[in-house]
Amino acid sequence: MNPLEFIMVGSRICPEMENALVYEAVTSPGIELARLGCRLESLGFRAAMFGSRATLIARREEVLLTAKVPNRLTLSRVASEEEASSIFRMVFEGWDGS
Amino acid sequence: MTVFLNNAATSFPKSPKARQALLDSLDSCPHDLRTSAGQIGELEKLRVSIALALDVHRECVFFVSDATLALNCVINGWIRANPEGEVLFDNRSHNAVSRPALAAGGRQFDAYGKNEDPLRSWISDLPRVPCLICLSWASNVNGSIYDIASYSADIKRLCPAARILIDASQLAGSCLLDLPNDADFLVFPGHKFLYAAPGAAVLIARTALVPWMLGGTNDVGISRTDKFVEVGTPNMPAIASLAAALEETKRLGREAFSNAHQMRELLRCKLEPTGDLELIPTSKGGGTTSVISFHCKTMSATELGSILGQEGFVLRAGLHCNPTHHEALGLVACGTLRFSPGRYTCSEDIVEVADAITDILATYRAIS
Repeated sequence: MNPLEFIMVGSRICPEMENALVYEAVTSPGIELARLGCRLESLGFRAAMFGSRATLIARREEVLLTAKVPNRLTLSRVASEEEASSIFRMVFEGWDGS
Repeated sequence: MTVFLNNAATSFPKSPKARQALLDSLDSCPHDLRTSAGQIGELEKLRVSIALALDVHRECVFFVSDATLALNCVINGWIRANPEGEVLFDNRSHNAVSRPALAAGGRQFDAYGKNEDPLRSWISDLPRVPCLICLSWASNVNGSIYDIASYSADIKRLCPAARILIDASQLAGSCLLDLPNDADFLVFPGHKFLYAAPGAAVLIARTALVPWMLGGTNDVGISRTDKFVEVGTPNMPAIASLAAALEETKRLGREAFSNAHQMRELLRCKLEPTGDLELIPTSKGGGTTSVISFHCKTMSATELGSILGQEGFVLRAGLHCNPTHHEALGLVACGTLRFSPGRYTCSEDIVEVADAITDILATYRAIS
């Protein structure tokens, strides 16, 4: 498999609340949530799926990550878009989705 | 799968009659919109139609592209004419009121909190005489409907020289619209609880407006400044849609909003017992619109709203463009999760969102 790519979309939800922004990213389509869950757990997250296993939610310390098939990701409780981007990089760079 | 519970922002789906009026207007030949060779133009016919629906004189009815612009027109125009006066806005105001008021040097006052009694002394202590007082008829945060008739009458007694501007954006279509006697200006859009197309709002002005935006529109002469508020080409399809929606709402009476209110109550019954969501209380004694909000104790409102959004539920999380009311509630740091069911919301939608919230919060607890 080719390495997965991700692109930061930016922040959404409530721009008036700077401490409550949710950062969004999209990845290459076809991400498998079960494999992503294993990947995240190997990085120290606790992960679980819900919604007929179509959504994954993962937490490490305060950081909260959600992933939704086919390729939507969000991250909250991070200080900045740069920090969000670096966490997404940690998850996806060098990982081929397997 | 999409479940729409965000009618307080903009309605979906639209009323079939309002949608048809929009399409009919788009498909009709645009003759002179205002007047032509002594004939009454299409815009004036719509103005009369809306005046009849609201029981006001047609010369009091103005069309603006949205409520924010209409509120800006009144506030900026009035302060331009009264530069020594004070603009006051209540502590339930949407940013569409508070921001132009603050930009005009205005002040916020505690209208519906526990400080009602000191209002008299507070107003008398102001360094400048109030010239415009802005009141919210209904909150877009918790759905409270305020007794605007008695409140505006009290304000008028305290400040007889001041004009009263009422933001009825959340009220129109949410209950029977009975214009208060003391309202000098009143604003509402068509696209929220009237289920009309976006792009048109009604501004009722019982007092002559002071021009703020200038343009080429005037069918009588440059001395008729009151119509200057309607600058540019009117959005006839949206205005036709609004007029049709208003007529329909008036014809339906309580039936126009009873389903939305029932869905609000069903949401409350489903979500309040979860223990994770704390209902934002409404003002005592008043009614409510279909808007209902919760403080989420388990995770932040924006996080829960974001996940619900991913799951196909369209609702609002955060401050809803109303930090003023969130400050009054002590929730400006965390925001609220807001649901606004509408005329076309069904009980299955409510059950689905309640089940999804239960599922999400249980999963969150499992990884915490």
